[in-house]
Parts: sequence; structure tokens; C-alpha cells
Amino acid sequence: MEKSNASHSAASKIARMKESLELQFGHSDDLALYPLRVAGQEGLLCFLTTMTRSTSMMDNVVKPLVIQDLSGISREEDDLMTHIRKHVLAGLTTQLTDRSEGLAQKLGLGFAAIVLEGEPNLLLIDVKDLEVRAVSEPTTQNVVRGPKEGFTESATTNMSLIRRRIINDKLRFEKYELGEQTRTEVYLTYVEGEADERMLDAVRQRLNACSLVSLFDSGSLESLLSPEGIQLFPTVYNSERPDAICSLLLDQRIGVIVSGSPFVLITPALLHDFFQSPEDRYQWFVLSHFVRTIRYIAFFFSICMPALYVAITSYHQELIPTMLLTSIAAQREGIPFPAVIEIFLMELSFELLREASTRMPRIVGPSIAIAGALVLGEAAVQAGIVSNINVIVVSLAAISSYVAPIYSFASNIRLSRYALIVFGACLGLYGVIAGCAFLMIHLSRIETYGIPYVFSRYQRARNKTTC
Amino acid sequence: MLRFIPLIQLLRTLLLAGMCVPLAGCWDMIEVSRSTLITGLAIDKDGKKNDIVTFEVLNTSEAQPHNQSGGAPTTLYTSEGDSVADLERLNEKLERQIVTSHNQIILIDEDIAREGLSQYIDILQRSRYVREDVTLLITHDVPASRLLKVVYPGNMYASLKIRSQVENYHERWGGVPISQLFNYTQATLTEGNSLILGAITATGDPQVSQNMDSVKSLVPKSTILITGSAVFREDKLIGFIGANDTRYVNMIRNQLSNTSFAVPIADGKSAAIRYKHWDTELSVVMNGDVPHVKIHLSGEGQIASILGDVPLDEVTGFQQVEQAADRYLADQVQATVNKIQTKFGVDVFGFGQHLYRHHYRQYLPFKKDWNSAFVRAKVDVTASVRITNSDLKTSRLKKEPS
Repeated sequence: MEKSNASHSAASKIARMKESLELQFGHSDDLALYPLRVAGQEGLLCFLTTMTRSTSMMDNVVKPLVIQDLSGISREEDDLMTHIRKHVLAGLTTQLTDRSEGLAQKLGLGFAAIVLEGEPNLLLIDVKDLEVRAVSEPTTQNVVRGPKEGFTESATTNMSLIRRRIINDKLRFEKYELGEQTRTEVYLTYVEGEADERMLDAVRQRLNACSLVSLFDSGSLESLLSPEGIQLFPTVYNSERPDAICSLLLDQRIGVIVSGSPFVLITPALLHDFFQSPEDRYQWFVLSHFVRTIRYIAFFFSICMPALYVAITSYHQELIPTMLLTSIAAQREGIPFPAVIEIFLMELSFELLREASTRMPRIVGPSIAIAGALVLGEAAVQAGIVSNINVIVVSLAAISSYVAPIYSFASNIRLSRYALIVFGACLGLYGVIAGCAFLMIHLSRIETYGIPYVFSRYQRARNKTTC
Repeated sequence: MLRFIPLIQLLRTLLLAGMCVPLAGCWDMIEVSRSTLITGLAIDKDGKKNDIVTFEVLNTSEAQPHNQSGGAPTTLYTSEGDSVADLERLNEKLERQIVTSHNQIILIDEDIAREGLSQYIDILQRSRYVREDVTLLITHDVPASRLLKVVYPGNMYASLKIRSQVENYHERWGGVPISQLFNYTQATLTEGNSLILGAITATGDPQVSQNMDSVKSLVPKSTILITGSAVFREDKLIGFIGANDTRYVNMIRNQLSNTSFAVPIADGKSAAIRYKHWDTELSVVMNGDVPHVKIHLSGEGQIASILGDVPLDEVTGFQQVEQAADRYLADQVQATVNKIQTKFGVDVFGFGQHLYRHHYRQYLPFKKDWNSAFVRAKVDVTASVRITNSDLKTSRLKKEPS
């Protein structure tokens, strides 16, 4: 009587659980509820087929449970679940719980649950096995010499890529779950003893205070980690390259890995970081310095070149060598627009071209290239709408802006160029200088966690602020 | 740390700041395609009192080597009775805005120069658009505007041509002094130094040479000729010296880098020597009322050609030529100094300046009128020329006597 009671309650337990899961997941197609018989007891195996693979499920969980003869085991010390946990599924992440409330969430995280008739506890097994993209070459930060591995969308892979580069027991990963709807895994990574504790606390606080609904890429976290207010320059470094991230981690910075994003964030970032390519450390130092200087010059070109062109040709003809001025004037002969409109026309068409070539399906790529190069470049000049020198200036500025090794930097600074053109067109060189002065003031005011943005060496900046 | 700025407040600030920018009104804006460059300026005098200013205005598209359609690279506009300062009035005749900052050259007629340059120089120097390195030349025998009325092959325009010609002539041969607006300033402000400027003239028929068809001829219809230099007392022209004398003046002023001489050697034959480096050492001391000037010329060069029988395959041959060159140079320089002393009586060599710098107390009594002391100066010239080689050959090509 007692036994039948117990079996009745167990049967109803399985049925109840089945019912409640079906209710919660609303008969979602990927919910698997398989009956199971372990050690002579009826049971239920439940998991989400989308979070695991059937082969690994069979090999790791089902086969050992079903094949091993569990009927004759001594049940003195352990109950059945504990025995299974220790002897059958040893090595897998498992946990025992007697509460079924958080079960749905656990299933969502890639756990499988086993309920047995006579057992009060639930056995949860981590069977998460997802399709991940293989580690491949980064697409945004290319190097000629240096490691070719890039981060992927899998946070685990990314952590592994970092861990295998920094064989140091002080390397830490701290897990956060952000996004009310998405519960995206976010890992804070740092080298303990190197990273500043107070700064770490500040970052932790910000992550905890995150009120994002969804989080699909680390880009959404950038604004959370940057200082308040509007910055014209990016204050959070991002990279697809494990070597770049690791070297910054060892430079006392703090990294943030977001599951689902191949871009790992580093904070605090300095202006100089955005001029640094990982390759700089792998090649002859003289060459690195040279290239870095080129990048700074390119930065200047990209921001100021069109503005300087407009300012000088419209207001300060005396600054141009006579022969060059003659040449510019001859090219501009018959151009219907003033220099500033001309520059804006070209800049606008370049922006369109850039946006189109980023967004378009890859298959139509060549048509954009033809339209861009021929129509905008050649034909516009021949039709006398824009002058040659204008095309040269705009393309020089455009090329220069992509010299920056970090794409987000290149694209952010583009905007200040337009402001400078307006200043240059209205006030001449005076305006350009005023605009640059404004940029300088802005730059020098940016501080991330108290670290000034325009220092060239992080440790020096840190020492300075702690003093 | 930048505090968070509310969006509305930020927009308001940006709007205000943004409004200020266009309010500036772009008042100085000049569109290069709607303006034109003045490249040359010639100042003449008509029979009466009026100045005639001729402007050389560039036609930019024609002045481009790959863009021309056969039109004239420049156009000349003349305004009479106006001062140079009234430049903007040129739009009476000209359709475009004027950009004056690229003026290459200023030509001044000798008649005007005889009356004094200062009133014209003032206008030029006051303007921030006229540079101190603009070439300033005095025209000799022909009106200043005549020099701008020459067309050159390759759509070269007169002012650019003259400027380049003067610079190269000074650099390669030394027949013209450095002749820029700055030299006027320098000569006026420094002690014991009189102004000399380049002198220039033109040959040929201006009626033919100003026509675009004239460049189609092999033989130039008109040529611009640098005659040497114009000598000034204060700011007034007092005369001209030839290219050869100008070269010796440059030599003494240590402003000569390259030149060549035909040095007479034995039997009326001569050797041409091409000099690469020149260095002149001056020493000026007062001996009572008489300045005693020692000039030591040292130079280095090579034999460009030789007509006499000098054994250049031996050291003695070189020494022979060197000694002849020393003697010749010393004589020539001596003669030039004497000529300037007697004919013009102004110190274009800068002896006074040297004295002023090295023996200030000796200079002081003559500060008022250094030139009167200069006339009395005893000049002693020595030269030591070093001939480094004789180019590819040593002896002349000739048949061995059998």
C-alpha cells in the first residue's frame, strides 16, 4: 500500500514535471522529453535539442545510464542519484537539486534533467554542445606577420584563446549574465595583481547596473563602459585578435568578453592604443615607429585635409605655391560650385559608396566598385562637376582614415572631419585651427576611470593619476 | 570626467555655436576659379607726371602645359594715373577678382628709379600680400611694360620667365645681383652698403613679340636680356654697370657660387676656367682718413678648355694656370673697384658694412657719409685659385711631332 502510494506519487511527479515543462515551453519543438528506465526505475530525461547534440547526448549520458547494470549496487552510503553522479556520469558537470522551479532556465542554459521515480532529487547534467564557428583569421585587423587566429562568437573559445596565451594562474574570468531577455554570458577578464582593484570594482558595478534588454554584440556594451557624456573618440578598445587583447591584459587593462561577439573589449583605452597594431611588436622596432608615425600623420590628414583644402583655396591663396595654385585654379575653371560644396558632394558620395559596399550582398560587389570608381571619380571630373584636386583630397582623406588599425576609431573620427570642413569654409584657417583646438580640448578632457585618454603609456597614465 | 549633458541642452549649445559660424559670413572668401592672379607689375612714367602701371594677369587654364588651347597665358592691363595701391580699380577692365599674393616680379622703369624708389617700395612693403622675395628689377633703355610684352614657347609667361632667368643667371654665372624687394630693405637699413639691383632690357620688336604667333618661330622675335646691375645712391638710380663688373661685385660681396673665366696665359692664348666654389675674405681698416681694404679671393675650379701649350699632365702646368688666374682675377677685381669708386662713388661692395661690424669705432666718424670715405679707399686684391682637375682630358688633342 505504502509502496504503491510512493509509486503513485512518483508517477504523478514525472507527469507533473512533464506537464509543467510543456506549459512553460509551450510545446516548443526543441523540447525533448524522453522516458527512461534506470536501475529498474521509471524516469524522464528532458533537455532542449537545440542546446546539445544528439550524439554527445547518447555517448555521454544515455548510454552509460542504460548500459551499466545499476540494479545490484549497494545503496547504503549514497542514494541512486548520487551514485549515478559519482560513478556513471563522473567528469560531467552535474548538480543535484530538489527544487524544480528553475528547471526551465537550466534547460535553456544547456542542461539536461533526469527525474527518477523513487528519487526526490533532480539530476541536472551540463550537456551543452553547440555548433561554433571554427577559429579563423580575423576579418577586421589584418597583419602580415603575427598570429592569424581570431576570436569567434563562442565565449568559451575566446576564453580558451586568451588562456592559452597567458599561462598564468592569475588570469581570471568572471561571469555575468546581461540582457533581461537574452541572458547573454559576459565574462570580465583580467590578470589579478596587474589590474587595478578599484577600477575592477567600477567595471563590475557598471556591468551589474546594466539594464540592457538584449545584448548581441560587445558593441552595445561599449557605451556602458565609456565615461559619461558624448565622446567623439572611442574610449573602449575592441579587437578580434587574441594577441592584441592579451598584451593589453598584461598591461593592466580589463577585458570584457561577450558571448556571441568576436570582438573583445578592453577598458580603459588610450588614444595611442588605436594607433597601435599588434604587428608593431613583431617587426623591427624602427619600422614600427615609422609606421606608427605614418598612422598619426594619416589621422591628421583624415581629419584636417578636406578642411585645409577648403580653407586655403578659399581664403589663403597666398599660402599655396604659385605653380600649384595655377594648377588648382585651372582645374577649378568652370566648376559650378564653390570648393566647400564640391568637397561636401564628394565626401557625401564617398560615404554612400562606403555604406553601400559595406551593406550590399557580396555578389553585387563589382558593380559598386565600377559605379564608384568610374562614375564618381572619372565621369564627375570630366563632366566638370568636381575638380581633380578635389577628388585627390577626398580620396586621400578617405584612405588615411582607414590607416587606423581599429575600425571603430577610423569610423568615429570621420564625423569630426565634417565639422572641420564647415569651420574651414566659414572662417578659413582660423576656423580649422579653432576646430582643432576644440578637438584638443575635448581629447584632453576625456578620462576613463580617472585615466587620461591622451597618454601614450598606460602605466605612466596610471601612476600619474594615483599620484 | 565629462558630466552627462542633457540632449536638449547640448542641441541648444550646438545650435548657438553653429549659428555663430555662418554668421562670420565668409567675408574674405575668394573662389580660385572666379579670381585671377597678378603675376607681374611694371611701373612706367608717361611724358608728364603720371605713373603707368601695367599688370600681368594670368589666364590660368592657358598657363597649364597640358591644358592650353593656344591662347595667351597672360593678359596685360594698364592703368594710368592711379597708384599701385589702387589695384582693385583694375576691375574697371578686368572681370575677375584679383589675387595679388602671387606677384612674381616688379619691374621699374629707369626714369622712375632715377627719381627715387621709396614711394613705390612703401606701397609694396606695406601690403601683406607682396612678399619680400619678389624679384625687383630696373629696366634699362626700354619701358618697363615692354618686358612683359613678350610671349615664350611652352606658354611661359614673362614674369615667371624673367624671374627664373634672373635666378639662374645669378646662380650659374653671377652676372646679376640678388635682386629682391628684401635687398632694398637690407641696403636701406644696414650701414655702409649701397643698393644695387638687377638691370634688364629687351631686344626686338614689341609689336611682333607680343603676338602669340611669334612663338611659332625658331628664332625668338624678342629677347629679354639681363644687362648687369643698376647702382643706386640712397634710393635713386645713378647708373648701370655691365654683367662682368656685376660679377666682380658679387664676388666681393661673397654672393657668387659658380662662374667661368677666360684667363690669358702666355702668348696671347687663354684658358677657360670653370669655378665651383668661391670664398672672399675681406678686411677693412681705417688708416687715418683712408679706408684700407684687403680682399682675398680664394676659389676652386677646373679647366674647361685651354688653348696654349700648358703641360697639364704635370703639376707645374696646373700651377702655371693657377698663377695666371690669380694675377688676372686680382687685376680685374681691382679694376672694377676702381671703376665703381671713380664713376659712381657708392659702396656697393659693403666695405663700410664690414668696417661697421668689425671696427665700429673706426666707422663712427664716417657714419654720416661713408661713401665719401669709400672713394678714397685703397684696395689691395690678392687671389689664390686652386684648380682641381682638367675635366676628362689633360693635354690638348694633337699629333706628336714626328
